[in-house]
Amino acid sequence: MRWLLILLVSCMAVTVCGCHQDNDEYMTVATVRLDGGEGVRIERVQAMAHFTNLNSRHVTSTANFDGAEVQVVLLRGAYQVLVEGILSYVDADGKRMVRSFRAVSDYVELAGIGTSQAKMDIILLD
Amino acid sequence: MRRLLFFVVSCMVMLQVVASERDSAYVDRYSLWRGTTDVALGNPAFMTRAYMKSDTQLGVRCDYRHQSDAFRLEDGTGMALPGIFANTYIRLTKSSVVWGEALYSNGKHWDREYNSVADFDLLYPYVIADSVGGDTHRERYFFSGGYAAERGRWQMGGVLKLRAEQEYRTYDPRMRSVVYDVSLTAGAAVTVGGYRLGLSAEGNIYRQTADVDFYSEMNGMGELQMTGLGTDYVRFSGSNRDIFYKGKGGTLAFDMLPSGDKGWLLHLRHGINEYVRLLDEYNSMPLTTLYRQRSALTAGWKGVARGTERALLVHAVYDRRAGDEHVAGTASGQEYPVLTDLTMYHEHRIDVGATAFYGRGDWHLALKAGYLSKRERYEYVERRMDYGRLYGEVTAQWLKRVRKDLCLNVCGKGGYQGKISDRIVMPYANMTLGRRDYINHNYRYQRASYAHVDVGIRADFRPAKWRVGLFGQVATAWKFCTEGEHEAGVRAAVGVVF
Repeated sequence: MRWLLILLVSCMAVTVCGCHQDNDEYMTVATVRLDGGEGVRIERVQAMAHFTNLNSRHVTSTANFDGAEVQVVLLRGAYQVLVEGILSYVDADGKRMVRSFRAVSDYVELAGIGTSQAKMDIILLD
Repeated sequence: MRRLLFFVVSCMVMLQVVASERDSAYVDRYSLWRGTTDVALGNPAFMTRAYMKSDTQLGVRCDYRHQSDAFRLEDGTGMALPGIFANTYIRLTKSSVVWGEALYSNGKHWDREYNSVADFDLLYPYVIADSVGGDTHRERYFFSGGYAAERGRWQMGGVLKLRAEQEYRTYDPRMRSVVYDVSLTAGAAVTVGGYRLGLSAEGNIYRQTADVDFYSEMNGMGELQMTGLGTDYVRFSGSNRDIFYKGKGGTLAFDMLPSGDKGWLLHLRHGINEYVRLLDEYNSMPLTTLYRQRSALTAGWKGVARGTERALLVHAVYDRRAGDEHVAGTASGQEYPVLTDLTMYHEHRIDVGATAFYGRGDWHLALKAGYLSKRERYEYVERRMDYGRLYGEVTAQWLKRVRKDLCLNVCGKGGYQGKISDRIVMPYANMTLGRRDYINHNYRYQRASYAHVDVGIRADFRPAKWRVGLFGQVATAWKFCTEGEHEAGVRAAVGVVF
């Protein structure tokens, strides 16, 4: 009788422990840094950044730039990123410029637990 | 003269005993009272004393169901499933039994939408689907066989179940699913102090291949890889229409039954299963994994005294589904790495209640009442669909040998499920019209209240000189919902019993 009880409790413990643990770290604070190339220092950005989740096609947009960086809370995953707007920068000769720009990437991994970082190259439009 | 009188009286007593045994065996097999112990028969060790006598049945049957509007779009508006079946329970020796079952059915389901796989109830929400749908053909083969034996205080047994099934459509979208489902259960029980304590373990392997084809060039629409509550895995929806399910699982159960007529009952069961959906076209890339955990508890007391049967059972069932989406990275060749897993889908289903049994003479009565709730949630963007219902049900059965060669089993059931709560949260602004209609349709029937009435009769005819008996059964079930729609069902079966 005693061994039956022990067996029962052991089996129940094994099955309960075998239950699925949820992966519930859903969101990541994603930081995308714009890179203007060698010698270019981006000072201010006024632009819209669109993050399209590749799995769900859900789009998150933000204009919350701090210097050359934009930060947004996203579902962890793979994204298409499009940033378009105007920036002011100091070039290699020390000249301050204000120009339109675009940065596009078909695939950016923003899947880190807690935080994720990515860098995107910009292209000046005019 | 005295010898003749003795012979006649002896014959009458013998006939009475045989008739009484037959009555008992019949009642033993078909009585509502079996509901107090049937739950334990999942443990094959308990089959050693499941029935008093050997019994084999062969027959044909047909299940028909029609809904005036689909209560759930994925299930369609109804089905007609004719089939042939055989089941047997044979006592080999005083202490060992074998039993088995075989079934072949071939029929049709009507107007299924948003479901292009077989076994939707097992695999949802991770199915492939389209909004067109249509009728499907279903062909099912089922076999099971078991053996159990008793040695002293111990009983042991095992049972193997095999199910093969295909479901297909003969016009676009041409879905085709082929299922293999194998379960092996082993159990042991011991008699201790007037009770039988049993432990059983079951292992399950599941496979399904599912694909959808379009033969007409005009119909080259895509299939959706559904991920729950109207969402889909957009990246791999469309032209990826060949999928494969790999499943496995196990269940443990503990049972306590009184050896005699009176005592306490306990049934505990816990099972876990997982089903991975793989994409054939990308080197068996895993898209989603569904984890299902089912726990059940039944406890109560039953007793027979002075020809009256009484029992009170309480039950609690918890069924949880959690679904992981495997987030794919960028392709290298045809291979996609998995970046991370996110448990995006949850469903919690709870059923708690109590059943009271009462039986006297030819009559049995069961009263059941309880609470049922289902909560579904998709994590991001948040979607929810919940409901809670209170239910009550009364079942009455009249079981009698009306003539020496004829037994009748008449059963009637009526009940009501009343909604007490419901809630829906959907990002309607970002949903397409079709997806919105799909969700709203299902929600309309989830939040409804239902009344149901079932009536059935079974007649067993077996003259004393016949080596086999005949049986016929017909039952009808009706369900009415507060949305003004209804469901009608008929089950008919005829066959031989020996």
